[in-house]
Amino acid sequence: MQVYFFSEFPYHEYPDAEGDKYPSLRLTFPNRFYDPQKAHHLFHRYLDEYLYCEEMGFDGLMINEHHNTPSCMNATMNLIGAILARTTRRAKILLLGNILPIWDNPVRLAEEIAMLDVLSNGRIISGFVRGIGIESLATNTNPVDNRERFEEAHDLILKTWTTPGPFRWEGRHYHFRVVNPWIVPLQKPHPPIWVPGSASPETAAWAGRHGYTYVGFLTPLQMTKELFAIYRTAATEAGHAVTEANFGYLLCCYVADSEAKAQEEARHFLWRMGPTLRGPKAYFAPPGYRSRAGTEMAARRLSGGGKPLAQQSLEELQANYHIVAGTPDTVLKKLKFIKDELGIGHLIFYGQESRMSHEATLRSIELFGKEVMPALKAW
Amino acid sequence: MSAVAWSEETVQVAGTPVHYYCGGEGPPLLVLHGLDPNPAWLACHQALATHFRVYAPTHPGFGRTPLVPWMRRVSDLTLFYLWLLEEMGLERVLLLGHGLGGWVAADLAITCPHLVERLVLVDAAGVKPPHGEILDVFLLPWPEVQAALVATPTPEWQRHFGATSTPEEEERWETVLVALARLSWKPYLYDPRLPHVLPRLRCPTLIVWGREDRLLPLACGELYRERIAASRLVVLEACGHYPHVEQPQAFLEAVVPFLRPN
Repeated sequence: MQVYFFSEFPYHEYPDAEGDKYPSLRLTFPNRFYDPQKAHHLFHRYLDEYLYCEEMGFDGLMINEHHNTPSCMNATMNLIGAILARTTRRAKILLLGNILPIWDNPVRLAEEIAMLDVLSNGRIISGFVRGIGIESLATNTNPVDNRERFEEAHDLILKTWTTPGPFRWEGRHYHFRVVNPWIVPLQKPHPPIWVPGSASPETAAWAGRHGYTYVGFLTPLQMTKELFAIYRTAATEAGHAVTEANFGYLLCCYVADSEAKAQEEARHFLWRMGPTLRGPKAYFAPPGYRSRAGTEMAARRLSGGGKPLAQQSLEELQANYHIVAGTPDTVLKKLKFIKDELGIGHLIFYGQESRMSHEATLRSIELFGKEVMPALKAW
Repeated sequence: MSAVAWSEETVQVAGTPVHYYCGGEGPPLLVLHGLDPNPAWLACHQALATHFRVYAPTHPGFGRTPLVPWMRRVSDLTLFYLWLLEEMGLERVLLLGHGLGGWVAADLAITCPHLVERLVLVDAAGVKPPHGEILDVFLLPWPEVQAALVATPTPEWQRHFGATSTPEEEERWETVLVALARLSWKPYLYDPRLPHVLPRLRCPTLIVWGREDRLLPLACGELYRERIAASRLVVLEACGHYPHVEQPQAFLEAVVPFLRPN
């Protein structure tokens, strides 16, 4: 099993009472609550935590991207990727992922990721996502074209990486006279591609058809199994062998010296489960963004674990394995259960949130690295 | 109101079965609906049908007419309706459009002036207001949009446009929004070139606007008035985005004499 660290680079520095006044913390929560000076310190603090993860033996460092939200300050993940490419030496850099549909120029994105791959000496894992509805609205990208743009941008990027230029691209959404970037990836034929899934059966099938690694993002275990089954069917039909390496799972995790301390720190994950996911449907699923099948799966996601994430207590979130917290022994047992249930080859350790302090974050990383990771690596 | 017979029919346009209501006798009047599923043969249709042969088609993708995948801008819809007129054998019509349909009506009359005898624009989309903003229906929950669009919610408005949010209602609204996003996500509900080509409109034009329209501010109506030489603007007080449903009497008093000057 391979383990990756993830932090969403949160900015939870505004008064919560102010956040409660707005329909959502995303898209329209006024950015006057953002203090760049505080953000400066946070960015460097989080980057230090990533470096410590490499020291503690994590296989990879995952970063992501969102827009118009205090839950994630990474407005363009490739910038943070570039910093990690330069400041780390061994860990994989997992971009999970670049939001393809909001790019009007996928060739430029292909260049950026290729630069990262060259800079990092071939340590890039290139994740691609459709993005939640807010990303479409924040960039004013037509949500009805989201899936088509995702697929066409992907095809264009893959061709840019693998087909000697120059060539011409006349697609449905993208048009280029000359595709011939000087920078191409170091990894051949191209960096590994990962795709996260939260509810869309189409995405699971698409990832399966391409044989890409598919990662469940805080999906209830039963639904994760269903999505994995959809993936498996599509992959098999396309002639891809499917092993544990095709599957990953992301969960929130805190490792502490005592159960009591673990429970205290795990509370920091509640902010991301509740307040940061609050908002009108129009923000999260604008018109045409989701298919009927995706909408049904999303509705089941809300009812599958009994309740939406936002309405689950800390105890329920742990019972449903969205949060795993405890001493190294407790965490190991729970992770073993998840690994056996899902048959995953990659675990994403979401290890910091909200106002969890730097010291508390480092201690959890240390305990995980020294006391959990060695056992886990043998699975 | 006299019992004019009306029916629901289908005509094939570009391989698509287009749903339309029709009824009445007299000069042909094409009525193009707005940001709604063209939910019913309304009282105003019935009243107009005592003077005219009313044709009220449903835009592709808005419900009863299937979505047409190649249609991605309002001028595509204009072309589609030109095609529809041909298929129906209508060589010259009276044209009335509301909201999105008003935009199409103006665009059609600009494109083929010889086809349009008289034009009525009712709270029409299509131009960017010189001041104020077009309400962003994509960012608001459906009940809030409903509340914003109406000033006088008459029983007919309640029945056809303001029904409570059942899952079916929400799905119909979602269908309308998807169709709208396909046609006019960006720029949103206007065409920057329209003010420049509106002077090409020569036919007598009546512009009817609800003073309280929060979707398309009166400033849009004033801009239409300014750019169309042979036009007149009638503003209805205590009226939102639906003059024909909120103030049917005042609406008909303005529209019918305009459409039948003799």
